[in-house]
Amino acid sequence: MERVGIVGAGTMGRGIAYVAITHGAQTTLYDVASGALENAAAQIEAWLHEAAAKGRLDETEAQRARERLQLSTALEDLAGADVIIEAAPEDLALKQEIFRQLDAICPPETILASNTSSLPITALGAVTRRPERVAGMHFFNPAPVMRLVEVVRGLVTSEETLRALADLARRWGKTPVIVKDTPGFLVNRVARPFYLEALRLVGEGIADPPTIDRLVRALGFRMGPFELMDLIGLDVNLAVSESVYHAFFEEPRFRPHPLQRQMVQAGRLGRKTGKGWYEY
Amino acid sequence: MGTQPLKERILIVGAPAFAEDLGGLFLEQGYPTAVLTCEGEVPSTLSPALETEARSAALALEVLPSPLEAKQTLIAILDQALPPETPLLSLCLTVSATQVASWTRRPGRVVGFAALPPLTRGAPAELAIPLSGDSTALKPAKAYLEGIGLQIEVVRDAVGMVLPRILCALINEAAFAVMEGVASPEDIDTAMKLGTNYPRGPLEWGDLLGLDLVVAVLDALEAEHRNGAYRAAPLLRQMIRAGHLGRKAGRGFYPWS
Repeated sequence: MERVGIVGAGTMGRGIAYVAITHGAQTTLYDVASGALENAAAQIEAWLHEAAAKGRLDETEAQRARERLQLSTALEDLAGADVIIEAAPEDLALKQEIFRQLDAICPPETILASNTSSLPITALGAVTRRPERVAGMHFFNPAPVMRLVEVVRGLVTSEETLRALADLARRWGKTPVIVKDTPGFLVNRVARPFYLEALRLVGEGIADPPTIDRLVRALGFRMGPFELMDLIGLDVNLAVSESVYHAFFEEPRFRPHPLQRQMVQAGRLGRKTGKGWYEY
Repeated sequence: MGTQPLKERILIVGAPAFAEDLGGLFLEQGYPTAVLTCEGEVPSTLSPALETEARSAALALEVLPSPLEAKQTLIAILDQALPPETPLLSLCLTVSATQVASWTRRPGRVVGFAALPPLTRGAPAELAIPLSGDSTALKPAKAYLEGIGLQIEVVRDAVGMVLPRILCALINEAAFAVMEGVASPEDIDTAMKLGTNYPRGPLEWGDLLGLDLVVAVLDALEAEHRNGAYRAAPLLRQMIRAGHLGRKAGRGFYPWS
C-alpha cells in the first residue's frame, strides 16, 4: 500500500488528499494550523458524502477512504511516507524551509514533490541532499475533478522519480504529462496569450469583453477569456501573468496588461467579489 | 409564373481553404455563386474570368490571406469591374481593412472580414469597417453572411482582428514550448485540453490552419505592433522551410495522412 504525506491543508492540499484516499493511499495531511486541518477534514467528508450519495463510491469504499486519512500538525508524522506532496502557499522561502525539514526527517529514498504552479522545482531540490528525488507534481483546481497532472522535471530530477510520480498519477486516475522546469511549466505558460491577447484587444478598443467571449465560444471553447478570468479570479490570473513575465526576464510576449491591474485595484476580482468583467 | 425569384449573384475569389467553404454555404442557400481559386500568385488566366464575373456580382468576397501583392491585384480588378454599389468583402488576416480600402477608388464599399477554416454553419466571423470607409456596405455584408449561417460580430478594424490574433498567439506559444523542449507536441495538446478545457490542442490547431498562415498572421501583427509580442517561434519558420506546413502538406507537428 502507498503511504503519502501532504503538506498544507488549503484548497489544493485537501483536494489532493481526497484523490489519494479514494485511490487507496494511506495519507497523512499536515498543516501548521489545526483549524485548517479541521476545515479540510470537513470538506473531505462532504466530498465523500456527496460521492456516496451520487453512487460514485459505495458506502464501504467511502468508509475505507475515511480510515486512510490522518491529520497532523507535526511534520515528523510524514517521515514514513513513500511520497510527500507539498502544497503550501506559493512562497519560495517558505517552501524551501519545508523541503529542508522534509529532507532532514525523511529517509533518503522518499520522493519529495511540490504542487507549486509557479516556483522553480530546481530551487526546491537544491536545498535538499536528494535533488534527483525532487520533482513537481502540479494538480489543477479542483484536484478531485481535473484529470491533468504536470510532473515537473527539475534540472537534476531522475527519470526514476519522474516515472514513479507519473505512475502514481495514473493510479489516481489522472493523466500525467512530463514537463521541463521552466516558468509557468506548461499549461500556465501556453495559456497566457488566451488572456493577454484578449486584454490587449480590449485595451486597443478593437472589441469589448462580451464580443470577444462570444467569438471565442463560437470557436468551440467552453468559456471566453473574460468569463474565465472572472471564474479564476482576476487577482490570481494577474499574479500568474506577472510571475511568468518576470521569470522570463520580461519577455514581451508575456507582458501583463495595465487594464487587468486596474480591475484588481478596483477590487473587481470576478465572481468571488460579485463583480469582475461581468456582474454576478 | 412558377419561376423561383432569382437570388443575387455572389462572387468569391481567393484561397481554396476559404473560397470553397464559403462557396458551398452560399450555394446551399440558393445563390448563384462563382468560385475562383488561386494560391500565391494570381495566374494571368484568372483575370479575364474575374472581370467578367465581377460585372454582374451583387456581393464580392476576396479571400486570399497572403501574399499582399497578389491580394492587391485581386482587389484592383474587383474595384475596377464591380458595379459601384456592390460591397467588397476582403479577408483581413494579415492586413487591415483600412489598408485594403486604400488600394481601391471606393473605400466606402470595402468591409474587412476575418474567419478561420473550416467555415461551416455556426462558425464565427468578424467584420470591420475601414477607417476611411463608412457603414453603408456593412449592413448588406452582415446580412449575407448571417444568411449563410455564420455567427457575425462587428469589431474595430485592426490587423488580425480578434480570433486570428488570439489563436495564432496561442499556437506560437505552444510552438515555443516545443522548441524549448518543455514537453512533446502530444503532451502539450493533451495538457491544454485537460488542464484548461481547450476544444483542440494548439499544435493540432496550427496544423489544421496551416503553419504558413499562422506565421503570416504573426508577422503581420509584429510588423504592425513592433513590440516583440508576436515574434514567431523560429521552430515555425524552420518547419515552413522544411515543408511541414500541417495537414495540407501531410506533415506538421503531427503526421497527417
